[in-house]
Amino acid sequence: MTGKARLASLFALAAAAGLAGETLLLAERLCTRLESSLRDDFRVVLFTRASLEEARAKVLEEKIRAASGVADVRFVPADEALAALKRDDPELAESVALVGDNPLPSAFEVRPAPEALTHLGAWLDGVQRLADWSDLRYKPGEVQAILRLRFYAHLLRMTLSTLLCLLAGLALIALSSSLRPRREPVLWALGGGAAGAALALAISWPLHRDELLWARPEPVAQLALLAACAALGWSLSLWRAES
Amino acid sequence: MARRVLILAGLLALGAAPASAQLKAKRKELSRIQTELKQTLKELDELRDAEKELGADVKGLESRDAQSRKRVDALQSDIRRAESRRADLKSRLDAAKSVAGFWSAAIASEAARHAALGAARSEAYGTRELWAEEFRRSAIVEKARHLRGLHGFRMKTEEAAAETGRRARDLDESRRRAQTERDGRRREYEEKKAALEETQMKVAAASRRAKELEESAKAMASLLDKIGKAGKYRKQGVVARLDRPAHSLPWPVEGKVLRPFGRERDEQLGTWTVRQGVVFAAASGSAVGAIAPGNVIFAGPFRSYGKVVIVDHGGGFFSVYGELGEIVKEKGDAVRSSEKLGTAGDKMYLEIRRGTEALDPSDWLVKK
Repeated sequence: MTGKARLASLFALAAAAGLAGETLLLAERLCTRLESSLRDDFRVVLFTRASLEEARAKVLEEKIRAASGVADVRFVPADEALAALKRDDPELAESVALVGDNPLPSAFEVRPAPEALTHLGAWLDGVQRLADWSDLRYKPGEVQAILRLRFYAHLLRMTLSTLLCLLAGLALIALSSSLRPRREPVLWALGGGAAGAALALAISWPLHRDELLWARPEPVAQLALLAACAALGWSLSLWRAES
Repeated sequence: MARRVLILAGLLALGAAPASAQLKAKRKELSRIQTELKQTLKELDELRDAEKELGADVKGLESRDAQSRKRVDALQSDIRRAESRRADLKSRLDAAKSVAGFWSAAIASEAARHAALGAARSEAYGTRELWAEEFRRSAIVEKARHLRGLHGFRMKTEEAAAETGRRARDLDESRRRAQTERDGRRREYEEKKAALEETQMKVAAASRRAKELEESAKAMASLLDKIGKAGKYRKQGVVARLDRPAHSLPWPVEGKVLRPFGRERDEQLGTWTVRQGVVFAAASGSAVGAIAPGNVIFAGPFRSYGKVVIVDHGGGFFSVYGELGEIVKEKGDAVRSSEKLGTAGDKMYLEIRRGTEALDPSDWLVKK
């Protein structure tokens, strides 16, 4: 194999590594972002049995806030809830509420802490004991989605870390045989890694229209990926030279 | 009538009977009249008592009738109120049924929509949906609560309507009973009132009769006094008996006896009448003849007797023909037996007198 062909194959190998790495980075980022978005949306709504006085509502709000695993709590009076509902869906409010002034009870919107989601059942039991609620509502499917996204993000991070560790090991092996770095293969590998990352970004670029499904990887992670690709090219060039 | 008879008798007696015999006869008649007067007065007292009693009964019945009428009116008013309330309750019930039907349909539709939206909702995102869901659920619960309230109202209204219906029927039954009772009292009242009016008539008749008897007694007393005085210059002896055998005189008119001689009870008025002669039923215009030969001493109208002819048969005997339609003889005319004196009206009255004493004509007329 000529020197140019060797460099081209090195470039292709680094580009593949860059593509895979960038894809993994994108996926991990997306999972993290989705999890964050769902966690921001997720609320457990505790409906009161009767309309609460302001003082009593404050006391209850503080009790909930003091409970473990509570990230945030907000008291929503019935009138405010009805006003919001009328604003969001006026047709529903007019067609359903034919009787009485406001059928809605007051409620507390509680956002559990991220760590509380893993044992939400026990957490709900604790919150339910704080008062006599008329109803307690949340979306179990949303909890499951959050937990799954958290798991996938963690898995991707683990994969990336493993790959980086592997590359670091290869680099150390290369360094142990020769401390003279060769400039040309490193540049080609760096270029291949950058091309792979760019290709991954180009492939996933249409997703940027959907804000929920789009996430830009961290610049540090990008640099680390390029460095890893460069290290891969350098170590492979040394290994080839020796063989 | 007795008074008139007595006056006539007095007129006749003045020209005939010897004074002592006439006096005796008149005293006897006076005694009879006085006895009759006492009896009539007694009857009058009894009738007045009966009148008072009946009057009290009628007043009591009138009072009870007024009470019954008030009760019937009150019951009618209650029935009208009950019917009005029943109609009102029925109207409410219909409205409640209609509203309940509307709410049932609304809840069913709402529940179906709620279920459909629940099935279609995103399980993994959208906390705001929880509010909409709770809103629909609360609205359904509230509507259901209203529906239960309507159902309870409907049940109560149905019970009230049934109770009002029962009450109306009871009231109607009470009204019918009260009306029947009132009708019975009304009939009793009418009967008592009729009895009272009849008794009042009897009292009036008895009063008139008593008055007539009193006047007769006075007239008789006066006549006796006159006869007593006349006896001083009239020397003729009284004839003891009519010189004809009994049942030998011809009937004065063709017909039959309508009213007999003497006392007769008036069944309608419940009083007694004393008649001095006989009343015959005769065809109008039929001939009236003298029962014996004699001279006409009076011919013409005399008070309520109508046209009267008096024939003197001699020996103190006279015959009186009253209520005639026409008179064909004049005072002073001599008549034979059965000679026409005049014509009858629809009836005819005959008296035979011996002096002032009235004799029963049926003892002297030919038997038929």
